[in-house]
Amino acid sequence: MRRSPFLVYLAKVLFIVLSFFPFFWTFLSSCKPGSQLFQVNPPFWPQPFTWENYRAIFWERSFYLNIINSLVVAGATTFICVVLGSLAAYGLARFRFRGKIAILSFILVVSLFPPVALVSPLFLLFEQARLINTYLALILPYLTFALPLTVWLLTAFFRQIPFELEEAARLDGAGPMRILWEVTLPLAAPGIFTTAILTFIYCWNEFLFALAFTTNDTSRTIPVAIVMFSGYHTVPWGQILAAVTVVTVPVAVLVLVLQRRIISGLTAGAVKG
Amino acid sequence: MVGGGQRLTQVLICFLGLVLALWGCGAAPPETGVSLVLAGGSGPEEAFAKDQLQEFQRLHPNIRVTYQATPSSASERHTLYVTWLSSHSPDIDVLNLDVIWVPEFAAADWLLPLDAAAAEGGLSLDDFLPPGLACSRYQGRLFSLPWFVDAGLLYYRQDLYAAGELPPPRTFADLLKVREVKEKFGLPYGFLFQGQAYEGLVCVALEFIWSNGGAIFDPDGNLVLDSSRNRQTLETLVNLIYQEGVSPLAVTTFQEEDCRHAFEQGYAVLMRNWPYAYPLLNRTESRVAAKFGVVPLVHGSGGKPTSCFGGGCLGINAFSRYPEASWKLVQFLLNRENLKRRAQILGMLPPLTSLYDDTDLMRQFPYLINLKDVFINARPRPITPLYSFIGEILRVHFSRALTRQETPQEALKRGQSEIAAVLARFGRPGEVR
Amino acid sequence: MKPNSLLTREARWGYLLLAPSLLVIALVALYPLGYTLWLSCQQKIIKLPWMVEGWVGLANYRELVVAARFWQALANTVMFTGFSVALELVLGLVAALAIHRARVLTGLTRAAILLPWAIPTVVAAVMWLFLVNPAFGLIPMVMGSLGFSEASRVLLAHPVTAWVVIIATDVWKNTPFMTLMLLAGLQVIPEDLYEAAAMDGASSWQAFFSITLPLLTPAILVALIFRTSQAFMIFGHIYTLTGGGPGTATETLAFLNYKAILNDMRFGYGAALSVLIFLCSLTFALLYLYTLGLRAEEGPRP
Repeated sequence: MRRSPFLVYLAKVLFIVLSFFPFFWTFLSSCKPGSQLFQVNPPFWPQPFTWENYRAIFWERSFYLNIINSLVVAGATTFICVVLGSLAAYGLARFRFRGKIAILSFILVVSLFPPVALVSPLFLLFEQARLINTYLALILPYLTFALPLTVWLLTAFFRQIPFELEEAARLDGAGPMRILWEVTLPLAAPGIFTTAILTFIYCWNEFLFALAFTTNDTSRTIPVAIVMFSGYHTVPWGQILAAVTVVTVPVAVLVLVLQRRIISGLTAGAVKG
Repeated sequence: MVGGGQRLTQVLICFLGLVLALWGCGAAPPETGVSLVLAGGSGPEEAFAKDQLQEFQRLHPNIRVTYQATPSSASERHTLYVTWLSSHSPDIDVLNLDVIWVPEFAAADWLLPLDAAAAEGGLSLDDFLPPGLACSRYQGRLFSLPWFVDAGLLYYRQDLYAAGELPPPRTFADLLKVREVKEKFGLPYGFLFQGQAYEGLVCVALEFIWSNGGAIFDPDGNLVLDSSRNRQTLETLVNLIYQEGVSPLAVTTFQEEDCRHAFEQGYAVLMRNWPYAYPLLNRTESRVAAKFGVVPLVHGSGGKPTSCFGGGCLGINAFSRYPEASWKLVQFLLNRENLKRRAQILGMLPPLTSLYDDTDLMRQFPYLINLKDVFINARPRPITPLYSFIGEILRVHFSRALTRQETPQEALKRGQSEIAAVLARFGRPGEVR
Repeated sequence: MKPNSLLTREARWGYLLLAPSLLVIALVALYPLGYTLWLSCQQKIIKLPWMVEGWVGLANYRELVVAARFWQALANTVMFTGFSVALELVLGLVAALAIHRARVLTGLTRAAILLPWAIPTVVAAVMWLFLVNPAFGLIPMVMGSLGFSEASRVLLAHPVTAWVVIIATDVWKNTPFMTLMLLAGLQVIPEDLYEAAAMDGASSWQAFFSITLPLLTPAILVALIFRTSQAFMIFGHIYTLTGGGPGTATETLAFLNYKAILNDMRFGYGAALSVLIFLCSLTFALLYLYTLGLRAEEGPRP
């Protein structure tokens, strides 16, 4: 499909502005001093530029701990989810056995339940298993909600990959696991990276379970930590916006780095070769 | 098939993932020793509380106390408390409760009754502010003790009123004059109050209702929400926005901070807000520092100025493993010096009546000189475990009235019938005060 | 080898590969799900001990179904889901096609397209709250300079404009999710199909409708199912932006659910509402599966 270059350029600019501008405005606001934020017609550029809010969240609030917690939880969940999900999707896509629809349905159905209903019973469970304030208390429910999407997406993905290469490998005598590792996964790389990003971002964003299952300052993740900035009536907007900026930057880097891997599709050579 | 570089990447990614997974699955370190956990607000409260706890541990070397910061936002903290207490968790010992939660937690048997401890410990309850004690009791028994108090105040631009040679506003009629002041001095906003669809709106609306001599329940416990006087009051409130041009439509989206910011920038003539705003408005970056004053709320012809009573209480978890140690902590936090310092440093006013005559506090908060009665006579919201239902009904109908989705008459009529239905279905007779 | 028998080697492999995932999900989800289902037929209001706890059959469901507020929330939720998901699908498709086809898009643009979704929902809602604030927000400022009257700048005060803001926040935040899913689906469509179609003289539009859309259907299906169920449980935006107001105009089912369980502590009633929300999501999922799932099995049309 060809589009005129001008339209593409216009779309490009529009996307960049629409996506980036709220963040840019947030960043600028976080660098404004004191109450300059709340003037009725605020100046566009901070006068003067100040890093006070950033100093506050890192020196006074140990925000870096929360960042580490979020990274570990999201990273671990993503890794486990991709591993388990790939195995499951591979089984569903390439093997014949009874009960596929039932299993797929069960996996799907679990994710259709509103999380707020699960908070209290899960809390009870985790408390008895002494898991509160551990990373596992978050990883387990996150896996439960991330696996359905992973499995469904990867199953659809694997199904669409042409069978010839795997067939060729099987005829060469390779076992199913070896085929998966050497043939299927590299071909499915865009799908794998997509589910990895989806899972990572889901964990990064999740609030309700993180609020309920982490009670220590040191084990909190980012969304809960940001909410906790507020005092009894006061809402420190400057610091909140600074935290938002800090949180966005690594994710932006992650997205920038991975977007090539997501975009890299099947090369003609691999399909025909 | 697969290039060497790609294979290496795969392996590296897997290794990194494995490390993360193992780190993530590591168990928490075990806890040892006699330790208490105090749950309270985050932000400035936390730093101050930790200082106090160090002092406490110096006095009681065999009791270790950890501070558990919870979100300061009421509903999030309520979520946490309900999650913990409904599973009978012993992990929290002393809780910082919003005053409206005491009856419901007490009815659920989640709080330890404190009458015996108070009597034995010789703690005199006489010095506590009457509304604070009222909120801490349920069915005649003491389930918590007030820690800090809040009551609605009227902030006004003293400089403008002086320049216009007007006395500070006292009655509803004075509110209507705000429009002239606003136009004379070219300010965008007249009277600001919290009008968003949240609990703050209920406080404001109740203050108007009470200050005009109305009520939700009469002294015998009958529901009298839908009275002609209340209808008149609600109409007055709604007309402030749509007819009198006294308040902007924007107040229907305002919470406390929105009002404060606008007033602080000098955009408003009057503001109804809690005491917390006072020290903030006097900072150097505030444009109204030294230009504003504080007076009791305006009242209608039928009543006296009545503020809504808010604030926090300390309660002990009924499932705590260390009730005696918890009581010691409560007593420590509630002793006179600590309450005074809390007021001086955090601006959270103390629950002891005698401290309102304290010279240091009066110097720091000059409005206390004239407004002591405001706090003594502040009125709590209905003290019942059903308050969350009642408050919710009030919130919905006040918000609808304020945004003209219902007329004030409809709002009160429907509110009354819905509250009556809730009481009939869920209530125990004679329990509301 | 006997086909479709539980004991075939192939079947054993299949179950083995599935086992870890199923184990995790069953471990975490079965107890809470079962408990919720059981609880939905109970009366359990923890803070009112004189309300006897116990089996009440379908009373909770009956109470929900006759409540006008429930139907308003349901209507709001369906309306919100419909608009959001439709907008996200269209915009996501356009973005995915643009990234996939137009190689002139730099990595920066791709990152820009994906970024809004990368921040926590609470944070995104807070940012938008900041942007629409009537006193110092950017959007009312712009509206004011474009000549809109004072009253219309208070976006969150009117039910209609409040919903516009909520939907805008959601679309801004979640379009990247759709984009990612559809992009992944676009990657597996072989290039030679398009070459063959071009050689046959087909136009771009014809190629789009007879090659791209049908082959993209599995990805669309998965994206729709999950995005719809997520939209159906919309909570964070409402909570931060309007608190359900003005009045109850922006309440959704998940918001009511949150209130019932965590505010009112009506665990039985809340569980019943959870089950109803679940059934609605399931209905949508089944609908998608029925209409799109069948087409997913077909290949590209000639």
